[in-house]
Amino acid sequence: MKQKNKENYLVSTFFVFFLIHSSQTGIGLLNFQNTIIENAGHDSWISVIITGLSLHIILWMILTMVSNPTKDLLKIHQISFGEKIGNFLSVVVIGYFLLLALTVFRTYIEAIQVWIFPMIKTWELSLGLACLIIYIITGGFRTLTGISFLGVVLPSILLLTLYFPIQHANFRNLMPVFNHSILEIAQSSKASFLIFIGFESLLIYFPFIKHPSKSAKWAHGALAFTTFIYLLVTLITFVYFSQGQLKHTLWPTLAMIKIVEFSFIMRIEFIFIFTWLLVILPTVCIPIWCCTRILKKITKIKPRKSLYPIMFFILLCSIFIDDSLKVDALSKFTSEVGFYFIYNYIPFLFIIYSLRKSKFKSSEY
Amino acid sequence: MMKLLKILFVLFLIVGCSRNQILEDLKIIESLGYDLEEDKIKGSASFHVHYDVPAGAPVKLLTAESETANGIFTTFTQQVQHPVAIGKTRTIIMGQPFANEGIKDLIDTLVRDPIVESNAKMAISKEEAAEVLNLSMKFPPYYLSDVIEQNITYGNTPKTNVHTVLNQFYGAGQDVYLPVLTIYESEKIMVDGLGIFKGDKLMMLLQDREAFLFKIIKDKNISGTYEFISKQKEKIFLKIMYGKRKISIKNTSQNPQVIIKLDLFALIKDYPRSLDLSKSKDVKQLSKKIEKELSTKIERLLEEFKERQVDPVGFGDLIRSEKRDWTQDSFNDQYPNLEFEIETKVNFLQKGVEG
Repeated sequence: MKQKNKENYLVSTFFVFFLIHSSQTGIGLLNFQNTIIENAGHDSWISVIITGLSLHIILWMILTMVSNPTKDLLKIHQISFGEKIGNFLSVVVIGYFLLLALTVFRTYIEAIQVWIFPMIKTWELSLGLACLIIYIITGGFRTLTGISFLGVVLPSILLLTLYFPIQHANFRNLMPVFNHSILEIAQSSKASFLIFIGFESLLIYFPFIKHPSKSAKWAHGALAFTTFIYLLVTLITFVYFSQGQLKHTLWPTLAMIKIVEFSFIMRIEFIFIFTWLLVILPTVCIPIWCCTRILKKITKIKPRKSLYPIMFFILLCSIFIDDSLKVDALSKFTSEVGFYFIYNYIPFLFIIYSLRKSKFKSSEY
Repeated sequence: MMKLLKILFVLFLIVGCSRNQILEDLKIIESLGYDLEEDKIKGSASFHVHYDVPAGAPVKLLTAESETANGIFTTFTQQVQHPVAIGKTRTIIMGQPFANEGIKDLIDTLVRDPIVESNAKMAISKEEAAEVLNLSMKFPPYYLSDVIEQNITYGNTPKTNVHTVLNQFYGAGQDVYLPVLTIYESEKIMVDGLGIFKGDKLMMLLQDREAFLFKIIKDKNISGTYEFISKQKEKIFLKIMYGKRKISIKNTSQNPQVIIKLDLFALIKDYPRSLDLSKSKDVKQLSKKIEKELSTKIERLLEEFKERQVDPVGFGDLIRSEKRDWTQDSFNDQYPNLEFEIETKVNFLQKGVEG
């Protein structure tokens, strides 16, 4: 049985690139540097490459599972574990996606509170953002894809600002290369994980792609592009900051942008933070959309109806996470959960699925 | 439902207007000054003067005394009718006693608080910082930061700003250096040399000539002016327009040797009239003289750094980047044995109009 959505709900194949890239790049890019240097110091740019490359294997597993015939995570769960346990696991995955959305949502509000409006209450910003998110998601998957596209194309102009920190670069900061043990580099790889999370939502929206069989190159391309951008930002951060200063800097990417100064605008980081809203919107919206999608498939609740309680839940949580320590703890926790979900659960699922698939085929197809 | 949401969203946009800060209703601080008075920090601040001050009326600095670097803002707030805004602070001046005592607290607040811009300048003042700020109020806005900036681009001051200070302060194997301001003829403010820190304490002051030598071995912008009188009592003045520099290090494990190669391109403005610079022999003779002068003076400066155990050039960082098991302690033991070899080459760009 092939899952097939109506033609007018589908999106062109090359949008997979924008969907995956935009669901990965989010708030993590603003402050991942001082998490990853904890273990491998100035060598942790190697860790970013390692994580990026290793994810291609996971992506390959995901693509193998969802294609031939096209299906989504729910179906994979049902094939692998049977209907009841499968559906139960899918509900657990809802929790995972909620966690992803919540982390990005709350951390972005934190960034605004730290950098621009110290006096603003969390609920004011959350409510405003929540309205925007609801508006986007009710537009359906195609609107979401449009936002992903804009979320990649429009902020790409921000990459140009990276030119200015290079003028202050001290390339000796990167030397000597490989001055840390393999273990330390591996630990940093794990720490760098949070910024890569998000592409696994492909498991849910894959059936919405017009020519699923041709999407692999776009998906891998997006992952490679993400790794490239992260590597670039990491390297520039390392040559701009000395390691000691980086340890004391809380939002390294924003602190780096602070050096940019034009005669007509002095503090470009303010513009940077607000443009960043475009970048984080897909990282919040796609997981929430995934939640509503899973709910719809399992319980037949209409996405429009389930969206409001989900958004309310995220609002409530973000209000209760009321200081920066809790925000830090949340992103640490999400990074940990994401690590186990992607590196342990997906390979595990892949093995079970491969074993069960042949049996299933004979009875089902 | 959707319609209601849209209306709600627009309402939220309007709420944004309630959190405004009107320019005229802010005390926008231009420069901050830190002095030490007995054990307390004495802060002062110069600010934008708006239309509400009657023309010709004397403008007073904001001043405060406090235990902590941030405490001064409490007293500032008590003194003014508008909220104090420090987002556009472009200069932070520290009196010499304050810098001698240690600037760690100040730097800690700068690195944690994103509000001060990275391009803001920090400087040491030979007189009280409050005095310098008081004088600067007579000049156009942002006079102090413009003076420092101008000297960085065209004068003998190496590039410094809040970012470089934080970078050097927290970075391994390097020390902070900052320009020094002084009051000249009791009504002008001028940049006069460089202050070198060890850790967070001001350790030594360099003259303007030494600041030039330091600039050409450290800064990205290799330029500046230099004059000297040779042994034969010849007066020579030259202006370095640009140059190349290569610093390498040999034998990092035992007694490291630092080799600095300078290739400078200079305009020669004053030179002994006995020389005819259209002859290559005379040119060679003159450039030899200058090269020797620069090399010996640079070496003397570096030896002085070594004696005082300060490392503004960042030799520690240089060795760190080539030695795998580098630690600050091991470098501190190594530093007194560091040897320098300086090779200078001076090329003349043009020899003045008369040839």
